[in-house]
Amino acid sequence: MDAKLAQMVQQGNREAFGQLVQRYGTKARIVCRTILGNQQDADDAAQDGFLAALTRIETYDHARPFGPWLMKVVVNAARDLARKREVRRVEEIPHDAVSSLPAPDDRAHVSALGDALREALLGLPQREATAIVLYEIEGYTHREVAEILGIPAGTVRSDVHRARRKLRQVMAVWQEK
Amino acid sequence: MMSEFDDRDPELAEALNAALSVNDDDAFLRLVMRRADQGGLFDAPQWWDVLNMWARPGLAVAAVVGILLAVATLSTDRPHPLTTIAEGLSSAGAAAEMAESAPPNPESMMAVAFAIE
Repeated sequence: MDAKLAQMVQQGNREAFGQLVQRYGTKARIVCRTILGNQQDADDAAQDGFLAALTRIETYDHARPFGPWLMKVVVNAARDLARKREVRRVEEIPHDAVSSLPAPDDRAHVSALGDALREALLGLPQREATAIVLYEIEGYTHREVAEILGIPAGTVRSDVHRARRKLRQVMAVWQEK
Repeated sequence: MMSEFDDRDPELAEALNAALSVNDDDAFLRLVMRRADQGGLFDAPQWWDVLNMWARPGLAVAAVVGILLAVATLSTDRPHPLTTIAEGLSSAGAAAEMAESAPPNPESMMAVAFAIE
């Protein structure tokens, strides 16, 4: 389906490009938000990513899955914007980060957990955060995440494992309440 | 065989998905399409674009055809016009005209010369 749409885009079909944006828009925006930390920049980067993909659609190989190819372009766009904006991130979550999170509010438990997870993601090294989002939310395999991020699959496995352990710590605090 | 590194974590995935949910997908789509349109990424080629695209190969083909025609024209073995006239003058009719005591009539000479053609 995606490969067919991509082929139509290669032939200049505007409608097909719109369908691909619809299919991958949310994923792209989530991944960009993970890298950039805020939705406004994420949306700018995701747009840049889709337009970059459109201008180089001729390089897409139909024999390979379209999603990882597109996500690689999108991730690169987000990284470019991150460099321009000089987004500085903390290398690791401080040891006291989990215990210093605000206590969960019953009325807004889900929302507060979301805030805590977003904050925790921002505290992760960018590569770990992107890897776990691509793996857990977008459902890509380790090999595909490796292709998207341009790192070995073994590194993706350890990144995902580390990120999961840290995020699980955050979730545990909220689940105990 | 699955290891702890390979299995997925649906609960964490759900929580992350909720935490990172985005809205205004339609607005995002419109923005992307507008930027693509502004960038002219879907413009259909105009007639002058097509013409411009074919101009260079067209000129090259015309040059090659011109050279081939010129070569073919020059290499054709055609009798020279003066040779034709000389052949006409050496015919029997011309000899008879030359044998007359009176000066030859120019009109009859021309008729003899071009009768061979």
